[in-house]
Amino acid sequence: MSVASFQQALCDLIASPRLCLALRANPEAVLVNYELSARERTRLTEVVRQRGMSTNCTLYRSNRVTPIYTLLNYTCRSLGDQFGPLLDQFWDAKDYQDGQFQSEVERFAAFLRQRIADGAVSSPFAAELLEFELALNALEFAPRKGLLLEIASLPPPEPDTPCRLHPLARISRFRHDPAVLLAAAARGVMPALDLPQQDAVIVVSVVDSALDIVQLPAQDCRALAEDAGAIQSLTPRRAPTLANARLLVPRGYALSSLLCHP
Amino acid sequence: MSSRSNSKNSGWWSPTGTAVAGSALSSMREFAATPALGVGILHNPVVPGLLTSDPGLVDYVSIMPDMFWTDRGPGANPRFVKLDSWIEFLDWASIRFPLVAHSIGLSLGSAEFSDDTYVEQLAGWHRRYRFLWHSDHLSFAQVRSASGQEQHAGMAVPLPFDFDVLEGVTARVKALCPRIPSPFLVENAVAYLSFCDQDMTEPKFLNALVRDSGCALLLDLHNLYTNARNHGFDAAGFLRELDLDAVVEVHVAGGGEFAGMYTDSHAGPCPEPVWSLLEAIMPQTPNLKGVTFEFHDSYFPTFGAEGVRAQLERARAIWCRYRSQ
Repeated sequence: MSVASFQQALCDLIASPRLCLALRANPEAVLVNYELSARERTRLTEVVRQRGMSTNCTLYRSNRVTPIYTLLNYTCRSLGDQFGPLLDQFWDAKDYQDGQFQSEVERFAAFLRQRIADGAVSSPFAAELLEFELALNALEFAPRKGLLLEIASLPPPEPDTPCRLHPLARISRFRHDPAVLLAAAARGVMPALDLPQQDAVIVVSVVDSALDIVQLPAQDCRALAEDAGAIQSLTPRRAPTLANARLLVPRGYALSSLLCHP
Repeated sequence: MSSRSNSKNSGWWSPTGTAVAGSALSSMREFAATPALGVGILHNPVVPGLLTSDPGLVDYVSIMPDMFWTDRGPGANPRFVKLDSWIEFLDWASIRFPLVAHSIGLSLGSAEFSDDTYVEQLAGWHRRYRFLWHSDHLSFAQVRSASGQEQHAGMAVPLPFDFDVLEGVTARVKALCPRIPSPFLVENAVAYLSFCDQDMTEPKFLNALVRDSGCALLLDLHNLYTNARNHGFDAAGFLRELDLDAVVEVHVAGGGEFAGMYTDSHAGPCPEPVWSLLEAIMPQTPNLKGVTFEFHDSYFPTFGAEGVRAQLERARAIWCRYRSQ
């Protein structure tokens, strides 16, 4: 158990500059939580005084922030000065179980959603940018080639064929003008906080390799909303914008690419 | 004639991979049958663009299998979901280049962690892509608490060079070798911490690991340079102590100052002392099969395709000076 406990302690220290400081100040109070040999206790007491521990702590934070900042860049920018403190809260949860980009981003998204719901996030744009970027990431990791092959073999939908949204498309809802918000985010800035509210629904898709964004008119939005209530009213006739963009596929066909790529 | 032409004409390699070693390394004599490759590059997101525009740039490609899938974690079904756009490059590269695998997820030094499903995934990729060898790091990144909770260290954490650690890593490597269907290499780690009162030096630890487990070595000269620079020891002395017969692959890379230390950031060109170390070991590494240049794609804009080419040409010049006879 000693080596395992030593490794656990080292991980905990690298993840927490505060724990390193606590160990410097009062070794017994920190080390009592681990089963360590005398040599391991000495080593831990020494390494928290080494410059390399500070480097490790910085690298740890750098490694963990990279997927979040890369895949949720607009969201992070929208948080402004709150980003750092929110990261500290997120990392305090100590549930970093793997080094996977996608799962780290999903965990941070779940954390941020909760903080937004708690009213702890001041940015009025964070929620919609978060959902938009999660939609983009879902498409980025989707098995595009396999899905396109499978869908190409399906019969084209008739005007009243019940359909589903193309699996290479995602709905993203905005409470502010998406054109203004996304243009500003792309420039690395945020619009004025008093940007008027304006509900909008956009569809992002990668059916044609490049990312395509379509803002839906009211008719398509209505069809989508009713379809979400299991009325199965999403048809080419009722959602012409989606149909014209080839973003509707007939219901009732299992897509095996999705089975191995939830 | 480039070393690439030499190796392709020697008949050892084919797209169907029938000539690839089929069992784990049990001795360096066994490994001697694997042909020398020359100069390679570690895959990153900008490498496909470099290689598709100039396939003659390298003799082989080292890939990190972990980067080509999303691991949804133990218990997920399916657990490993491949990334289509990345796989396209791998399929392209696999019929044009010899491939070697360099994983980051085995966490060889973990005292209480093993992941059979992950090992099986790696083995499956070996069967599919016929990697000539497989390497991972002498460090740990994963711990399992007494309550069974998994925790990732957020980085590769170095190990103290003690007898009990050696025993644990040796057992891990011995258990892995029969499951990974190609020779297994262990890479010396970068370490920003130094542990007092260790049972042995790092070269002695590596020599014992090779002797007791049957693995070979991936000697990362930039890791060595980084450690020597930060901790004030003589890199040449390290190499004199190391069993260089066991070195099968060498990594070279660049780094930079960060948070008060010199780091292995793969930030661009290799420092001159790393090239000097490579020159020094070339005559003493009879089983060396390849020299791999590593860089991080985020630094690519600072030195560009020409910068990468210059590093590869420098490595090739050294390689050819000692291996083309």
